[in-house]
Amino acid sequence: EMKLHFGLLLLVVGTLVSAMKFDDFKKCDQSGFCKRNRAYADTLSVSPYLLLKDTISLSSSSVHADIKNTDTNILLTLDLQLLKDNTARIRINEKEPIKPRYDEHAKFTLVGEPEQKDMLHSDISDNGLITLHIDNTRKVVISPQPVRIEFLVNNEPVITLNDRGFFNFEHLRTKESHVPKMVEKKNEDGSVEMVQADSEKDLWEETFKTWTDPKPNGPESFALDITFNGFPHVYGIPEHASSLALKETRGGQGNYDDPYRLYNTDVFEYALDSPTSLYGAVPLMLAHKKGLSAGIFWMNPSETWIDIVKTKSSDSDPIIQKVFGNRPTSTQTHWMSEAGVLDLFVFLGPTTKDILRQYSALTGPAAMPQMFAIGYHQCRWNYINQRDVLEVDGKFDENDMPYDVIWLDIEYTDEKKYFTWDEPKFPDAIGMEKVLDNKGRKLVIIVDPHIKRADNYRIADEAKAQDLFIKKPDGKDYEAWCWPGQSSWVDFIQEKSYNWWKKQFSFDLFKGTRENVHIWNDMNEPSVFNGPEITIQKEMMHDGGKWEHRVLHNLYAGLSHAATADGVRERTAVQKRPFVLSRGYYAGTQRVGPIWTGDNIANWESLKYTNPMILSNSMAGIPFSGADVPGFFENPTPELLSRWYQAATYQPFFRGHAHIDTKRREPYLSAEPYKSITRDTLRERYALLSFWYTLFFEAYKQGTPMMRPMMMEFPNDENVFTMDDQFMVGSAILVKPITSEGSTSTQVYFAGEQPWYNTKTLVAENKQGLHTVEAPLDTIPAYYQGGNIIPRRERIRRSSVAMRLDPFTLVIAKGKDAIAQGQLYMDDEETYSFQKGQYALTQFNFVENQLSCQNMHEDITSQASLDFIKSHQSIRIERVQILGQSQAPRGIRVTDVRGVVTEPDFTFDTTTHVLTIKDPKVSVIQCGWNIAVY
Amino acid sequence: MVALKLSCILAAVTLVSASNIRGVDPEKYDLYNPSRDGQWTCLDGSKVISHNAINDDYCDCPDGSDEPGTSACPNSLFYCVNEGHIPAYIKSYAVNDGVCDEACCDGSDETSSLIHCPNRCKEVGETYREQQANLKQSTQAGLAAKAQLITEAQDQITQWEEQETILQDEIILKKSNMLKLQRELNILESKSTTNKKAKCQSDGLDVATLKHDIVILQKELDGLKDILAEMKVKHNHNFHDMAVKSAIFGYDEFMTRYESMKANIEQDLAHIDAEVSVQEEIEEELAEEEGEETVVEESTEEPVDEGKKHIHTLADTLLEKLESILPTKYKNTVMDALIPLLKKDEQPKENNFDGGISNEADVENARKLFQNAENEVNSLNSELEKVKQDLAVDYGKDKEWLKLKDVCVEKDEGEYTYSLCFLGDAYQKSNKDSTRTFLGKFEKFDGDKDLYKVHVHTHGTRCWNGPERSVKAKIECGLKNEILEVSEPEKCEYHYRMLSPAVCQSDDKVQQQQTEKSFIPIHEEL
Repeated sequence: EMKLHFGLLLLVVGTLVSAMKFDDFKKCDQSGFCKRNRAYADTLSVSPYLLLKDTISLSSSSVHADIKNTDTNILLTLDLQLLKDNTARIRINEKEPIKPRYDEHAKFTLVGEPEQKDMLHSDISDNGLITLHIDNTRKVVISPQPVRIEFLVNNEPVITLNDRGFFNFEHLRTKESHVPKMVEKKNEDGSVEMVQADSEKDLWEETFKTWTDPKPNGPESFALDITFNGFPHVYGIPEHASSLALKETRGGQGNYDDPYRLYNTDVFEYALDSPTSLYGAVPLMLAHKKGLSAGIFWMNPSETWIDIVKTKSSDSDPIIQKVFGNRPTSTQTHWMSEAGVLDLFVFLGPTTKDILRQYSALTGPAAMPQMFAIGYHQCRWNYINQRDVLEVDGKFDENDMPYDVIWLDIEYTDEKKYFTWDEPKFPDAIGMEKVLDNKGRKLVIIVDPHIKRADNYRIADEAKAQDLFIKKPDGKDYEAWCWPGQSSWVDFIQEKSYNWWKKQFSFDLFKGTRENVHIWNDMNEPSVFNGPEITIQKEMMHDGGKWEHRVLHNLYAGLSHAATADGVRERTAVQKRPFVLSRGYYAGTQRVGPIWTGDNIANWESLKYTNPMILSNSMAGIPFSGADVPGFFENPTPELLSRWYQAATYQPFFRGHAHIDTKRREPYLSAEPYKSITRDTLRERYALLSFWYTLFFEAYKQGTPMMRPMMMEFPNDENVFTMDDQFMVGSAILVKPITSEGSTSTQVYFAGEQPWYNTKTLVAENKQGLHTVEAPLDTIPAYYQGGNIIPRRERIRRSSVAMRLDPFTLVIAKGKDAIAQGQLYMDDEETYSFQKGQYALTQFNFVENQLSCQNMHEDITSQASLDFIKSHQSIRIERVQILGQSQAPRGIRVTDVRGVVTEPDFTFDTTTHVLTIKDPKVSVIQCGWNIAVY
Repeated sequence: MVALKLSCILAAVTLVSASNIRGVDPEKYDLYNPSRDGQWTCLDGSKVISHNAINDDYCDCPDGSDEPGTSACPNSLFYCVNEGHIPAYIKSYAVNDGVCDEACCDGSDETSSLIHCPNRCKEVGETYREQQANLKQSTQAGLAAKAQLITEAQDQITQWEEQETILQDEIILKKSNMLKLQRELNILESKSTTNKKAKCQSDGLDVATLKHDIVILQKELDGLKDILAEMKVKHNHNFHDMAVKSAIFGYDEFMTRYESMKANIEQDLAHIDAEVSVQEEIEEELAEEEGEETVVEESTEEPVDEGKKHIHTLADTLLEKLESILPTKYKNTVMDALIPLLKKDEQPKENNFDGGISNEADVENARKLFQNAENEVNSLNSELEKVKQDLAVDYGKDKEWLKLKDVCVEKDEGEYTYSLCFLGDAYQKSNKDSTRTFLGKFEKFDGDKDLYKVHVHTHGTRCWNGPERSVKAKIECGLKNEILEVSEPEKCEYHYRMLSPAVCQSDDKVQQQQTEKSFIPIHEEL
């Protein structure tokens, strides 16, 4: 969290309630390269970049060629590779730079060298037009003059690079060799003189507020325009407090004036509905239209701005229709990065789920969390001592509210020295952790990447002595302010720093921690209280003076996160899946752990924005994210608190948190009826834990996020393309959180053709399209989609660990064809044994009034699979509920795995049409049984 | 060896009998008998189920009564026998959840493969009993200290109550003296001028004052009459106290004449009223004569003198009578108090009329006397106010907090030393530079069940960008007054954990609470 810090302390007067200080952060015209590239685009006549035909070389899966800037005669190299699974990579670099441009980030971002794929064939025309036939329907066409690359599917253009000619690549140069561009200037007396062009400003030095960026390397940015042909909407590129479907950024009614920005920053009380950058940055954009999705991954960790405009649909203009035919809206984007090389991946889907799988193949699978991570987390800045921690812990039990993790913010440390404890307040941290462990609960404590410059502090001493900190240009440790006062920042880009950091989490070094202690990385953008834009100066140096911070800024948070998670993983002999929450993030963060949307505010608007913000993360390959419940700053009303808990029940990461200036608001402190309502929603979360866990496994295997935009599940329904106030959890549950005060009803869009069943009453809604539904305070509108089987654990326990052996209730939401299916994933919930096959994936099928299951393990006959089933076979199905049952059956016949037939009791509710089968006594993972409704 | 075997057998026996219906208090087994046809009715009567469905790990009854021994129903309770300790109920969610519950020391809550819970009841029971004994001991010491506090408080209260009576009496006396002096002052002042209207008003005031005196005397008289009447009825006849007997005799005699005397007085008062109203009319007429000043008519003075005469007669009679009927031991006190009151009217009269036309010095002197008297009354009034306030303050059920008011304790918490004066002020003092921050003044008791166990101090120094500081002190029973721990769970809201004998409760009460507690699965952090 970012609290009132030194810099702001002087500025904030009166109440804490204020708003984001826009002046603290740059607009495009205050960022030299953004201004230059926007101006370049606006004043362009003809693109000077030509592909040199003679340099073209083709292989079975790639193209190489040189590009010449005919204005400067600088040569660039173009490399295009076709990769497996409808993916392509395009790289453009200087052919002979005066020194290397930063290209090393790929080793942190990609999980390996992407696998190439042979094309069917290729041809080059006489005028240098290259056509790559990927397969029978897909091809790439590279035009040489100016260079333009187009991806086509069924001969329709899908993605076009340099469609508008905005491609611009600033070559490295010395200040001495630089020849300024001169333009004519007409004086008032009519005379003409030559002056330096506007674009010459800010090339060698740039000032923002009181900071001057010395820019020793001068201009080194590059930009490219990318058109998504016929795609009305684009998504992704978090993190912004904006809508799911991205807005246009070049002014006009309802549009932004500034580009979306990717530059990890700690924004105090960030503004909603804004393209300003926030804590994280993932340069992955998806485009969608009816029948097709496509995407691009702009792999670059330097400051990046993205302009978005849309072409007018010709539907309404008869003249244009006459000339060009009925052309749908296209989305045109303009990507601008400050440094590095152009390294772009193109995904041809064809669905959003396919793109996320394609993206995961490059940047790695989402981490499979321990089960507890999906439970409810209770945090506050701060639980003040170990007695406080245990009292809060006990209160949850007294009030019958389940929770898994209690958290400690910065005050647990000895004067903000991470890896130490404030001993008077926590004299026996281990004892406290054991008490939590007895109930299966965990402790998460905060460790930030800024290290206090204190004497007799081992961490600082070692980091100083071994040169582990980020350096100033003069080679001395970079020092600035954060929580501890004067601090330095660990240089995670440097391998020895990364490895040293990992080791600090071993139990013998980090005293007072044990196996049920996990970590939280805050302030890792990095947040620097007295730095420009509350972060580090771009001229600071990494990796022993090798790279400026400028070239890799957005990577820093992700590396601190990864180093911490590696440390937590490696601290035990039998490795356990680490839990590390981070605030800053970048592409690849999904491999490491969850992130949250930072310091939000306890008001209705902020609650509303949790949905598009988390959905945007989902769309950008970061499936595990959440927002502080019920808002970090300020005191929530009881109603807001209850409504926020209801919403977060269906969001992936579920943590209550509070600013130090707020009143205590642990859910058990609410008065009735709010307390019971909040308890009910917490219990619903726990009932659905296994359902969530199965979705996490799907995210791990396929890259499909747990919390999904409607458009991901209903890609052919144009009504849902921009919908971000309702969403899907998996493909089974539709949720419409209530995000306005006093609402007791809301409009829900019932998409698709399947019946929907109210998750509370279990009654079929029999509605399609937009309908008003009741939503009294105790109800969040949530519906099972017909055709799904949802595994639930309805025994309310105090933590997820306590539920490990509990039996299941299967809810069968019958589809319109009376069919339903669903999966259940189980493993040991904490180690990596699942990667060795120690897991069970069971599919339940309900067809022709018979329920059965099927083992979906990758290797059914493996010993690991058999062992796992054997050790968990006693976990049974205690109840089956069939929704949408038209009439009472005559009976239920259960045939168990040994062929023994029993007839269990059942009840049929004639008003709800729910058939409940009592305890069929069949295993949830050992298949071979059958339950017949006759 | 023999002992070991025996305990094994005992354990086995216990198991057999307890396994009848797992999770049920053996005394309640009867509730779980099947009907003749093998059915059983949920304890809330809502449903009839097969007796076999009891503890079949499936929840049938809405009230959860069919699953006392499993976690199947969310709302049932599990009974742990806890032999060697005290039995306990835990909530169903804690059954077979892999946690050996504190409350279930016999480990009977866990039968799954997740965990084996050893029977710890012997040691837990021992520890518990030891703790109970310690608790009892410290509670008893605390109670003794509390009893002392209460006794001292009662003494203080009695003292205040006496003081209140004395002050009230004194105020009456002083007030009438003050009024008299005021009257004199007024006369002197009016004499120093020739303003007849002022004289008239002054005489009117005289009459009013005298009338007021009469009414007060009548009230006093009635008070005395009641005292004597009560003495007559309630005195111990077996003690042949001659003084008492003579007092009763005198009282009886007085009473024979009292009614006629009272009638006289009332008649006189009515007469005065009539005269006064006549005079007021005259005054009004005078006022209407457009400022024309006339010599004061003798007649206007007459009713006043008449009234005074009546009072003097009455006073003399009263004094005479009282002197004869009062027991010697009260006589002096009462007479000393009454004589100045009853006779006071006479002396100033002499002064007034002796002095003839008063001079400036006389006026000044009279003013001084009046002011002194007024000050005296005021200071007595504020003294009385204070005593009344003291008496009105809530010092706890038995005034146990009275003697602790403004008793201060402090605690060094490292960075700061925190202090609190009971029912007074609380402070936070920096140990670095001794700067002191005011945390709040006592506002109220705020314990839910035990109101006086929580003290709230509010309106401390406001925090920067935050609320006013405040203190919530939670006080537990202990021999000494002491701060155990100070924390700040919310910014600028300080929580004190304290000890004081004032909150100690009798043994019975404590035990009763302990028993109640053992039925709810609350984990006491030791």
